[in-house]
Amino acid sequence: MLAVRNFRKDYHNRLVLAIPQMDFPAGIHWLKGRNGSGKTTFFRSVAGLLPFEGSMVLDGRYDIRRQPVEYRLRVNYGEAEPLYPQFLTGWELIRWVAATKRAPASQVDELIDLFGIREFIKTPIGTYSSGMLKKTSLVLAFLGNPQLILLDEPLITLDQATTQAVIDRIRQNREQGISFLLSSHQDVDPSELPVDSVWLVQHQTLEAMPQPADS
Amino acid sequence: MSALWTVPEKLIVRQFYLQNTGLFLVVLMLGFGFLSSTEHIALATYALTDWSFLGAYVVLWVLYTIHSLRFSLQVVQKTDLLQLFRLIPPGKRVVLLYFLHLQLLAPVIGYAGFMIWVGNQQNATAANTGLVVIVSLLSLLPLPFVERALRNPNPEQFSGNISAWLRQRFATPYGLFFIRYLFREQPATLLLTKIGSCLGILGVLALYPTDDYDIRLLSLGMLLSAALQAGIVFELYQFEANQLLLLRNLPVSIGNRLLGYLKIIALLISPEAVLLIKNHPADVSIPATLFVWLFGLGLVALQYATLLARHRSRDRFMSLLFWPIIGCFLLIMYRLPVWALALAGLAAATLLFIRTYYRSSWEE
Repeated sequence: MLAVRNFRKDYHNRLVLAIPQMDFPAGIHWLKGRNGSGKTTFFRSVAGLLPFEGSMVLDGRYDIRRQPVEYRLRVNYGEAEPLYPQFLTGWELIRWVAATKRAPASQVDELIDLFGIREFIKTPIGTYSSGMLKKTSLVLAFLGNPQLILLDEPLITLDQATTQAVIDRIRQNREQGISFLLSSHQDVDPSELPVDSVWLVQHQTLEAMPQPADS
Repeated sequence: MSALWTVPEKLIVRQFYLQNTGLFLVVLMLGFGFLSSTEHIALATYALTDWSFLGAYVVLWVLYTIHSLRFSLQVVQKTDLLQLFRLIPPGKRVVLLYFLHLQLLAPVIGYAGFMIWVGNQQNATAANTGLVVIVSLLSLLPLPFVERALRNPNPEQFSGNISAWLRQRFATPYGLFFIRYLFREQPATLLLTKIGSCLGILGVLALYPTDDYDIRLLSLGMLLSAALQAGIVFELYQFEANQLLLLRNLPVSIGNRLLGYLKIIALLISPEAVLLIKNHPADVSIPATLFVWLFGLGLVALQYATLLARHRSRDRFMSLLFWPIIGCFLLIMYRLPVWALALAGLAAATLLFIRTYYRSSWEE
């Protein structure tokens, strides 16, 4: 699903992450790692927010550099700590992202109701609580027709009902063929969210974690 | 005392100067770029002998004090950590708040000190006494307001019925996100930049008929105007990198991205276009005037593309503008046609943008 080759990301000549070769098959992949290990840097690089050395190809066809538009149509990102202009309303952001991601109007409505943001959607983001902001960022992450959704700490600050809605949505989307890269410090019940593989970000690289069944 | 001082100093004073760097740079460019030290001394001397002229200085200082106080009140009301101020004994708290806000008034105190120095040389005792009283009052002004803000943290925001009505019915298009940000977060920078830039354009338009000038004078005016936009260009770069990072994840072609930025920049310098077209000299055609404006558009776009090519701090970015401005000045004076300069500027900005957009990133 996602092929990463010779990936390298430095900040001020300090290596943050180097991944010589990694192939993520279709499915739900959980990235674990300590704070500051480089998970968010990797997510942001995959989402096209950060420049990096190396290559990234989705489904063997969409290269992040050669097909930047096609690639970004298929890769969505939900940030751990979203930061948006305080004066915009959630609706203004959703409307803009939905238009560029070519999301149908019915999907926009469905996601707004699913994550319960209709009540405050037309008030300025500056008035949102962290949970409201997180819900808005999740709506943005599911818009359009992505093949890969990156969710960085998708469950933090969410109430129990919304946490369940996010888990259900991920599972449903997985059944429809959408893949996920997740990072979370919260434990998720494997019966509710069947994770296909777990990866560990440590020592400035990414390694597959052996599953209990493998050992 | 230093334990009580460090955190509020970093949250209020340093943040105020950091967030208003653009404003201070514009003020420095306007106040010390156009006026020499001799002219400042002459103006101060006149102000010390004319109370109404001194009043104009005081109005500016009061406006600045209100601007800094507004910032301070927002920080105090919205930063829960600063509520700890209420645990400090009142006397000590007032002293702390006084000296914190005195730092915000440093530019006013500095300029007033310069005027007092001039006044001493002119033996203007009455005016100097007035200046001391005014600055003392300005330094005391924030105390009751900050004390009140400490007692009323996190006030309910009410943006008005009209704003609420507009938000329910209309959505801001992407092209206006940054313009709204400027009006809301950096109004002083926007206002001063536009005043300086438009005065420059009006100045060259007024100068044109007084001698045997040609279109190069308008090009020089536009060059000055484009240089004055540097603070706003940096704001655009910072705004998109920090608050609109998701833009880079959106499936928009590089051509449309470039077009988007050109539209934003065109909108920003549209007042200059109106002034040029409305007041263009009789012997300079409208197409030629438009090329003068396009020359400015290309220069501003090139500034933005330069920031993408390599992240630089605001100060470094501003200081790097000097030699390109000298280069453009020489190109204009060597009679290169303005249409060629305009097209070359736009082409260079386009090439640099396409080459660097996806490789660029904000670096702390």
